[in-house]
Amino acid sequence: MKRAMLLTALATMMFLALYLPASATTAVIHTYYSPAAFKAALAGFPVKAVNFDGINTASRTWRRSPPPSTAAAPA
Amino acid sequence: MASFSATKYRRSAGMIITGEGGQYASHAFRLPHDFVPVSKRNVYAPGPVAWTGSAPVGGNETDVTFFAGSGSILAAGFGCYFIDADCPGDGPATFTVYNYADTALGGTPIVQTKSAGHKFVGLVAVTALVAR
Repeated sequence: MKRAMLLTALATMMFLALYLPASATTAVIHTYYSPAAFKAALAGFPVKAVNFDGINTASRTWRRSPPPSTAAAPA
Repeated sequence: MASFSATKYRRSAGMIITGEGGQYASHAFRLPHDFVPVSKRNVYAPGPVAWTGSAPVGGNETDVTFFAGSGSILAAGFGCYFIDADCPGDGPATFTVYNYADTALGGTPIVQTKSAGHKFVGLVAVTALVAR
């Protein structure tokens, strides 16, 4: 897969496994709901992870919109 | 809360993460009872950064593209945790994966969690084996 497009408000901790033959344009896609099973399926591939925890989030220069169904954000 | 460059993780993780309206990280985006990080510190959201009157505004899409060195590559799998995906009627949480030609290879079902819950979904691309 060349690209993944997410539709969501929030996500954390992404995983990436490098390498797939360029000819794999008709790949079969398997779905996993457990990180352990996902990683096991990728055994032998280098897996990279991003968890966003290295970002200094101390700035309070803006606030994110609450979901429409959620009560107003705390002051 | 902080924005970060789309290329922040290109070198370390081989990913360019491009949020609709920008890329943002926060402990909980001021809703700590709803947005509980899996990794116990930050969560991610696409931008932008405003709440206009009573109307929610903001990006809901994120593109992740994969790189090694100076060139783009194909990834064998991709997965992430979705957080607080308890209102699919407001906007479904899902992701789709694409090949070199930018044709969709497949995608996740709509992901739902309980309030403040989280769920991991990962997709692995396996080259089809032809028996004959």
